[in-house]
Amino acid sequence: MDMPSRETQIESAGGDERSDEQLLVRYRDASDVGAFEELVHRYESPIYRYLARYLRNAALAEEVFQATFQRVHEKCGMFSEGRRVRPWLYSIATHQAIDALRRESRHQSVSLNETHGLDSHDPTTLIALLESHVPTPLQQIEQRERAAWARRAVDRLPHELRAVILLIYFQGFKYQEAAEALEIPLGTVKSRVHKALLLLNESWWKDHSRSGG
Amino acid sequence: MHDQLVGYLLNALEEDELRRVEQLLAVDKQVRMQLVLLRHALLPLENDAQDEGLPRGLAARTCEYIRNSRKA
Repeated sequence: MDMPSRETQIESAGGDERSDEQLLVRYRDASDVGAFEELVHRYESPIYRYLARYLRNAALAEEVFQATFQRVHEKCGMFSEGRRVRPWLYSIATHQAIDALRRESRHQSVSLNETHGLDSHDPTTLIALLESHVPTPLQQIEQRERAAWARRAVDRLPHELRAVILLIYFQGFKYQEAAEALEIPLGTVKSRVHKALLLLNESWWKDHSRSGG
Repeated sequence: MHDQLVGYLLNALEEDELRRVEQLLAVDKQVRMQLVLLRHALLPLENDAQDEGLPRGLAARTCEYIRNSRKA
């Protein structure tokens, strides 16, 4: 499948294009507004999409996107050489999103974690249910249903699990980058990915056994 | 190994980790089978490929907002 995540890497990898780090340092040291604004445009799509999925609210995501870059502007003096910009930006975005959720008092919404045990199913057990090789009209309908189900299931993950899935799966972060962005240990990132997959698989079983397969 | 294989499928490994996993996959049939099973475990995510619509002019509005805040 296409990973929306790759766009930043592709954009950053272009020939003479300045790296994210060069742009931020240029803004920090020379107040080059053009460099800052290039960074905002470069991350417009990936960060907005991350926030929209994380917050599950497009209007709030827009607001938090602005707040994120306002913070980048305010904090760029604290950006140190040798750091990577991408996880630093997502760290700020995630903090801003958490603050926004607190303000909105909506961060304790429906959670897959609240109703199910975590260890009763292996993530590999979806195989039989998810395999669908011949795209008949019925299967196309089923595929759309699966897509809708998957989206709801990811959106219903507890926010700390949703964040690692959004960063790693949808934004193409390495484990290490995700650890930096979320300011958590590497092992925690890995265990959250594992837990998220367990929950998604368990949720699949629960929903589909209820509906008769 | 489970975390490394999931990371391999998610492209979340650093270069050196990636090489180690690939070396292992080349020689260990059981690890290859584990990888096939794990790939199926990611199917719920692969179904969720829907893109968010991007609000028009978001970056431009953000830049303008920050330019104004600098002046204030």
